[in-house]
Amino acid sequence: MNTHFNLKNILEIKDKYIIIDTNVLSDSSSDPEFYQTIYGILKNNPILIDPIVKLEFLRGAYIEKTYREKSAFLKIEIFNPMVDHQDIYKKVYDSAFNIARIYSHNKKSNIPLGDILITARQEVQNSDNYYFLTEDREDFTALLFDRVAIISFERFNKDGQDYLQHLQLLKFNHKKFKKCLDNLPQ
Amino acid sequence: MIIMKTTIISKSNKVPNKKISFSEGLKIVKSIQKKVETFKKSEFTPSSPNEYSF
Repeated sequence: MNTHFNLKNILEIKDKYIIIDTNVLSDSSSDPEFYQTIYGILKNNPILIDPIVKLEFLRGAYIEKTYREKSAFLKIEIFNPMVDHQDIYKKVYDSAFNIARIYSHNKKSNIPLGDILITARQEVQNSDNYYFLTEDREDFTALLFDRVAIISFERFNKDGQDYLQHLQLLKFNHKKFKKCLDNLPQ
Repeated sequence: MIIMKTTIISKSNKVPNKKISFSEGLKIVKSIQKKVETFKKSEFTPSSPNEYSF
């Protein structure tokens, strides 16, 4: 699989935590080439699974065998569940209200609830060590994130025509968040 | 009075807690890939479960 990315960007985030979005998890669970390529590029990064991403990934599994297969996939040693406990829930919910308000006041009132909660958890982490990898360019934008890198994959559709699939590596920007929060009507 | 509760979990619902190696994971991915391809080739019916439409 031909892949295009800036190696310097990837080396700069060596050992940093990468939270992966549901679209990345889904693609890596169903495409062996993508699975080997993406986790080869990120071989020096611990991969984190947000509880909401886990829920989104598993919720479509109606057939028990599918559920077991998807659950087994999440047991692969490279995946690490994010720390989750009651204190974190409260902080995530509080933050989610703020993030939802920020999006609403920036003409983005239709952001899916799951994406608000995923963003909120990154706000709560409040650390420079967390990055977020997603294919979603609509719901995760430069409003609250910094775009750190783009990883592009040459893919082929069922008619054999090639197209580019772009993943963006983002970092939650706490200064942007605070500025947006300060700009909300009091 | 002590009330003892017994929870019966069927074996089929259990997912082993043991971690899976990267290469074992690849086998799972290949298995899922086959099902996705079969699903994409199958004719859509409103009642068909949307299992592999990722």
